[in-house]
Amino acid sequence: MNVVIWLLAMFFLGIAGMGVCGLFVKACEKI
Amino acid sequence: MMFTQTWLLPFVLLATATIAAFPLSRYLAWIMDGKYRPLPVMGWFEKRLDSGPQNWKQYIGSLLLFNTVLFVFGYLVLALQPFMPLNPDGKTMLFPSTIFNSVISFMTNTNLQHYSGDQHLSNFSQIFFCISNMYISAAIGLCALAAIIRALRSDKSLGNFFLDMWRVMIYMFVPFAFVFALIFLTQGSPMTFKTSHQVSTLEPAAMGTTDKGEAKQQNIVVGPVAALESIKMLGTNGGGFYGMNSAHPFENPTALSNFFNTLAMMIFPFGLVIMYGRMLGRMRHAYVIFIVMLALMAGTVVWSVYYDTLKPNPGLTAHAARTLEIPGEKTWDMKKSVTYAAIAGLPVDQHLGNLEGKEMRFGTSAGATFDALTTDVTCGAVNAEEDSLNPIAALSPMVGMWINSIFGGKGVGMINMLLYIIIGIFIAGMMVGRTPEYLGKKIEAREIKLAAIALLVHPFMILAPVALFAVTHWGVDAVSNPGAHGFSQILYQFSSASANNGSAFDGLGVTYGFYNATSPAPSAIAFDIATGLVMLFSRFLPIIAPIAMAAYLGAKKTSPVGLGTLRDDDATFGLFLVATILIIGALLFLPAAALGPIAEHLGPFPVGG
Repeated sequence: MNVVIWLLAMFFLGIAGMGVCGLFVKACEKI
Repeated sequence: MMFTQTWLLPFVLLATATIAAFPLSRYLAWIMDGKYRPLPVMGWFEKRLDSGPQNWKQYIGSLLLFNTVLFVFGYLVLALQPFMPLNPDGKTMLFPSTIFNSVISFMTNTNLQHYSGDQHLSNFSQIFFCISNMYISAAIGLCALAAIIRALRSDKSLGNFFLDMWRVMIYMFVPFAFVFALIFLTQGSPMTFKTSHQVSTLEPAAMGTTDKGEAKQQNIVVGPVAALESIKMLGTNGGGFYGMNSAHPFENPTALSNFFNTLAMMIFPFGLVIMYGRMLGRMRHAYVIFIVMLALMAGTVVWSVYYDTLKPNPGLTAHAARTLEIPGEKTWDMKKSVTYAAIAGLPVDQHLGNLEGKEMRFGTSAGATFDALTTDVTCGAVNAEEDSLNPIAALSPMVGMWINSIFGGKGVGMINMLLYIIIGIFIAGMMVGRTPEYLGKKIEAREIKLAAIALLVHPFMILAPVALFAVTHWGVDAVSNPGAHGFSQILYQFSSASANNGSAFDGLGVTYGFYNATSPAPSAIAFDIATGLVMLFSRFLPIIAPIAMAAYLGAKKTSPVGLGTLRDDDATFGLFLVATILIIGALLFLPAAALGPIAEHLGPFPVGG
């Protein structure tokens, strides 16, 4: 798989992971 | 003599860290309560950093946004490594999954390194990625703890995240790191922007010869090692400049540097427990927590030293032939006999214990001591090879990671202990039929849900991926030893990632290396992505939930102490806390331990024993 595609995929995976953490904050608010 | 040689180092380390914790905690509380008077220049910066008092959502939002920016910055530094200065050796880019793993790793204070620093990173990356992240990520946990303390104290706000970060980095880590770096310099750690020295070897042509028949020179990698080493240990980061980490003679040259290396990773976690009591005004409660943690830590150290320094390496000792009956392939009724031939032991003197993977300049028990302590405080640096520990001794660092609150990293260890306290008080309250209370605040359903979720993230993030990797080719292709030890390698990897520790059994093949590597480890990408996600979620979810829990608790009315109030500052509470930790920890991880280190210890050699 092209290195550039890998670079972008891994970058957005990290951003998505931080987004999941942000969603967890919302979930804690609702508990 | 043997007794002193073995036990003096761990005893002196624990005693020194305990004594240092008390004055250090005063200083830490003084800084985090903002009672200091900054210099005019510093004050100017602090006024601009302070964006105002924050509630729990704002504090966590700032924390997550800050870490997202840190992720982007780190990703750019590593991805653009070939184009950055201070790279005369022309080191190219790591494979993207390794960049992802490394950035998450350093951002979460784990420093799990699926690369070798001296082989794969330029000095620019070591300085602007590794060292900078070491200061910043170490401060995150401390800030979270300070916010939780202010919430439990029912302060009007949790403080300001950016101001807390500044205070921790400028007033705590920078001065202490400077002092420790000077100590390491005096012992022989290099500190230079040069990347390497070319030297002629004593033995002619030891490095081979060129096409012209001239002897090749040895390339000795150097760099800003002392500066990295100090914050690596003080910030319980653990990511070494060299792949050998604190076993390398440049990172850790002498027995004295080893002592300070080890002490450096202990003093902040020790001091923060007492700081917790000082800031809350509950010193006796903090002393009980401290004693519980110290007892558990002493247990892991004694276990590790006893089973590794005082017992021989079973791989070198003689084993008689054994015949075992094991279940057949088709049904449980069919048995088959398997005979393991006798193994003659190697003619190695083992009266000093298991010396495989150890650095003798530190002393015989230094490796086992360091390995136990490094996982207790979630540092992850190593001065001996963890994969070479005797099987049952290896249980000690694993237990340290599984409990994850034996002092733990700066801040998060105390936060995890707070979760055990809440759950323990809840269980005690249910047993005696009283509403559980902590610091005068009633613990109700919301707090228990948040504490339970936060506590369960860690075992889930370990056991689920371990199970997945153990039964798929991802794990099977990566292990370097068959059977129980291979399982231990996988178990240790995910335990280390989830505990934000960063040490590893290095026999596990997880390194891809540069993006154009010709023979990367077959499961490198899978491990990079899996451990990266585990590190990310295991770092932030157990920080977010406790901050929310503390905020909800702090907002409640304080109940007066009554006859039925469970005391949290006596021996009964301490013993109950130990029982809670061991029962929850043991129940959750005992099956995994049985399949890994315990099976390896008890089973027939070569599979176990």
